[in-house]
Amino acid sequence: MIRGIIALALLLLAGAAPAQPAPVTFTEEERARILAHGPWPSAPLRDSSNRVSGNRDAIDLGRRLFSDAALSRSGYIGCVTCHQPDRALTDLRPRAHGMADVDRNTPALVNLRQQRWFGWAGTSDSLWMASIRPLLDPREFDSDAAWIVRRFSLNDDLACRYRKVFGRAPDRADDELLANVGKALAAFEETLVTGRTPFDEFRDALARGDAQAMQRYPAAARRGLALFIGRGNCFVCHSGPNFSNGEFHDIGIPFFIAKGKVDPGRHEGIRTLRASVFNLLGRFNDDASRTNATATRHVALEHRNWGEFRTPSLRNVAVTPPYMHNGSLATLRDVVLHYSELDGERLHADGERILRKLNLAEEQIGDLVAFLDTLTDADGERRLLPPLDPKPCE
Amino acid sequence: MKRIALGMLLTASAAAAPTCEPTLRGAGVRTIEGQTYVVAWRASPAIQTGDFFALDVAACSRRSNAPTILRVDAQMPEHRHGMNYRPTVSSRGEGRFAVAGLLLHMPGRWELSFELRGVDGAETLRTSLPVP
Repeated sequence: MIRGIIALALLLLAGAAPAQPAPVTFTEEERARILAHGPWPSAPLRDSSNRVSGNRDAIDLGRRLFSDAALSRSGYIGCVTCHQPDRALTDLRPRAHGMADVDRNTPALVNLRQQRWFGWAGTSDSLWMASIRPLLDPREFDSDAAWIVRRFSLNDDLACRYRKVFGRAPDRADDELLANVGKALAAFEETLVTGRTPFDEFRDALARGDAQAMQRYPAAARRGLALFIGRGNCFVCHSGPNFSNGEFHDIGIPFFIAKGKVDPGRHEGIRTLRASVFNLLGRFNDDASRTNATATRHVALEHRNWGEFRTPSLRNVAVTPPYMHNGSLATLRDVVLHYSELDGERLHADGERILRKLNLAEEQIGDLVAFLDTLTDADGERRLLPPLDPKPCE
Repeated sequence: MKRIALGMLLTASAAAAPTCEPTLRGAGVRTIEGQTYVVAWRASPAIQTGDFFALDVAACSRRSNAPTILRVDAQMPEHRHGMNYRPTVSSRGEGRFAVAGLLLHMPGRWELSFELRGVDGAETLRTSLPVP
């Protein structure tokens, strides 16, 4: 009798225990592909071309310049006009707008030290060079070195901070002033990074074989990840910890801007880069060895570069709509649909053949979007800038 | 019997191709053997997706003199594209070359090609290179 009661009790206990979910398994190849998207965050790197990279005073100066609308000729355009801190450091518009419409979507200013090229067309080979470009664009700041000298002359505190960082007064309207302003801005912009995400937790759990932690990753995201590294082939271009190979591709997004006007993309980017005094082969590269200029030295200009644009990072992609170089796709679902229904005829005739129509089912589209959602960090679209130190410059 | 042995010896001598050994050996060196040339190469640093690397190359000829001209390229045959960068080649003489500026920007199977030219003619040697 007692044995029977014990047996019954054991049976009831076994029935009451929650059923264990099936363990998450990947092939060795899948596992390697997933692990290649981390670890995150990457080790912070200083920019050898920018002697004030990582310099606390330069970061402070750059932070002030980032919010300073007086750098623009109009007096109301600042970096924050398009790179809005409460909008993931972008502006949620299809195309940027300063003094006039710009041709391309505003990229989110995060994780910039991971990049080799800057801008949708890779027009700049350093962050400081990229920070100079909008200052001189008549559609954006419409400024120049003389205007910036004037700006400093009207603000003793700002001029003092510039002197402290660069060892000379900002009173000469020359390329060196522009390079220095770009370098201060870049020193600050380098500090804008995204944090860990649910995907990173899953990736690290996979690395250490923590099955229990892996189970916390949503099933839909896991299925989406499987598509991302498998049939979707997304990982080929959206590779590495920053989910971007940093290079340029034609993905079938039309490069017509308006009637009679096209966006040449990478082709023009390379030509503009080569012609600029601010590229890494020029005198403003603070690394005398020029070993950091390998990309600029060897970049090839080819016909297929027409209509190619830089692969953006997918970190925090869910909070940076709209998408593509021209902001033509409003939602992530639209992006996935683009690849699902891809028209191969729109791809460059002599270009690469990586993409193919995926013909995804509705559930698969949802899974991919669910996966992309897990690349968002805890702060999401709120990228609050550090407060300014009220202490005046001495 | 002696005639058969002599015939076999002559046949064996005709079938053996002349060999050559490139002057690059050691850890990390890979070799490709062609009809005319043999090339040995080593990457530094080790090849990683998205990072620049250089090649130390040594080539010899099975016939006479080492090649004097080298051109290096890489393609992803399945994706129908090459590199976004054009490497530069410096000749060090006697079949030795330094190649700079290579970058393989995607994971997958690349095909590395060495186009060699010299007094013994031109030949392109290829090798498959899986890059994780």
